[in-house]
Amino acid sequence: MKRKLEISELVFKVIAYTFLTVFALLCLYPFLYAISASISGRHAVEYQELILFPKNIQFEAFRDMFGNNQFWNAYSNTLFLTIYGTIWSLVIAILGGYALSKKRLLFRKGFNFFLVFTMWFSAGIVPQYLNYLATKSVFNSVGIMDDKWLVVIAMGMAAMNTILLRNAFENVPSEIEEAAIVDGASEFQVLTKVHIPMSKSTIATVALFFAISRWNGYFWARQMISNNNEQPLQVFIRNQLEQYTDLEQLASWTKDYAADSVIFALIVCSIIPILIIYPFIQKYFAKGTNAGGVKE
Amino acid sequence: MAELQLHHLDKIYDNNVQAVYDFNLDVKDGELIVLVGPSGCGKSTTLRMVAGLEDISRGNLLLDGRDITQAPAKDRDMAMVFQNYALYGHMTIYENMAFSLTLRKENPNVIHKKVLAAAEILDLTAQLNKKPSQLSGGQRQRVAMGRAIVRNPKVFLFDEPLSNLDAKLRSATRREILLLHKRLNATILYVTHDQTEALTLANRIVCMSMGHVQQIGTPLELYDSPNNTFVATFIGLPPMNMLKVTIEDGKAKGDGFEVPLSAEDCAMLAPWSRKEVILGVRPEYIAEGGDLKLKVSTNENLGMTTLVHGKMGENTRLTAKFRSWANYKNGDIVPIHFTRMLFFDPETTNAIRKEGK
Repeated sequence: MKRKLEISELVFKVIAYTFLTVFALLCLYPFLYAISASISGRHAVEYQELILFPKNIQFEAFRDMFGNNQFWNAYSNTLFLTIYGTIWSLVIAILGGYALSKKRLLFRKGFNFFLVFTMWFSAGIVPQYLNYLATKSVFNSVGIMDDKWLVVIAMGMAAMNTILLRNAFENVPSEIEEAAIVDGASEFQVLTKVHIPMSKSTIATVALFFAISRWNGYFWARQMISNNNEQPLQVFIRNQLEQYTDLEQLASWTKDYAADSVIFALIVCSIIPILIIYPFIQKYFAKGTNAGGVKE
Repeated sequence: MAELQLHHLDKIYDNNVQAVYDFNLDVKDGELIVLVGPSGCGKSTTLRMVAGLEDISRGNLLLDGRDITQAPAKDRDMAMVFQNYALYGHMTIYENMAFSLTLRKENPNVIHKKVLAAAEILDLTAQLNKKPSQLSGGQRQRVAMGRAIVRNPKVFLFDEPLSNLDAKLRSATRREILLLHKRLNATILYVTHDQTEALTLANRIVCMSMGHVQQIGTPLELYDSPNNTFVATFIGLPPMNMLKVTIEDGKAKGDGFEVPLSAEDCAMLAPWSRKEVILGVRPEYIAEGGDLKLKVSTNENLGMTTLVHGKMGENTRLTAKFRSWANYKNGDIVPIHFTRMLFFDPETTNAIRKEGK
């Protein structure tokens, strides 16, 4: 038989659920509005008649955007930066986190301190700029002139994510590592066959953090990438925004949809991949993979 | 063939704490050696030095005559079973057992055969596709053993493998280890703090305390003629009664009791005449009937035997193990006698033995 809730519990539950539902709706609303505005007619958008549901539905904004080669170019640039950037950042964070998780690492405390220090006292964009300059000079000396790789390589390090992985690796029971060593695993095999699979959930989380930050990366791409054809989607959206808010442009606007609809269509397209990936990675968030390996 | 020699092993940690002092042991091929002692006595450290998980500070370790003191763990050809199983939680039981062979890039058919054979021995065939979390504690420890068996290593190392199991499973798994030892005729180094495990499993026991080896010998040797009071009280359950006595007029006189000594004991204890020594009497060396009087405080029936706790005199506590079902009550006076006595030097705590023994 189900236990009856006490009044105080009931009140708490009602308040909590109401609050969370309202909060979730508030988070959801901008998404829905963006979708709605991207497919509504010109008049409804320009005169701000939209509340939630689209009016005078049109798909021309999307059609024109999909027909724009620059859009696809920017999209592919973003995919490039996201895929390679995430891989590169993960490699650094995994190797760094693994080394820092080992008590036998020389100067371990010092390294950990430096890592955490950058989180307490962020020096703004200075270190990243220095990192950019250093990477660029290395690139130039070996003859690599590709600015996209520059963004991928120079922006690879993230202290917070490295610490998250360090903690995950520290939580792998030492006996399991020792068992692997006695079983004949090399240091690298201990990492790849034991620590990484056992820290899958944290790695998935960190990978998602990296992917989102790379996907949304705007500032450094804009600063580092000189060639317009190499700019990612976020910079492209920004350029479009500047273009469409230009009064002259707007005056000569002859389409059936509002200029804003293009921006909203772009925004919708830029969010979709994250929305698709998220549920796949989400299952790792709550679940540990080391259940039953050692007696706690 | 696998003979293991530990020569003068010392373990000194970076903070200058010494965990093991001058450990010497020759393990013969196929021998099951149990290292036993209380927590912190250095037994696990010794095992970990043999496994290559701890550096050896001083001394030499030889496997079949080859010096492996400096060899990395993976090159020592030893398999280890840990107290908390140390299974790879993300792998199936099959993958767990195959892991070491996979690392060695063995032929998959060979791996398959070996894993199935080990699973058969350990009754794990039905569990091969499961994950460790789906298995019971006893099954998990069997998987850990299976992981060791498939490798066919020169030496098996067990680090308190039964400590996490409940009493029933512990005795069942203990029997399995014994059978396994007979079946594989493997050289085994086994660490435990449980003297029952040591007595039942070992060909020879190494009893340790505070990093020092106290005695090495067969279970019967350690039980029957312990080197010192530590071994005497550590081996055997309930522990040996240690009574302070003075040797006088051919008798051992203690608080509230006197025991006549045999001519042999008198001769042996001549140097201790009118001096204090420690009289060691195992609870099972005490029988009903005789001149001594035990004032009962508690009576524990264990089925076949009865443990009777009480006092002789004011301060001499004594535990006796009678081979009968007794029902003594608090305050009852039970006549008893000692069937066997051991003597220890109170200063050195060493056993006092007859010349040449």
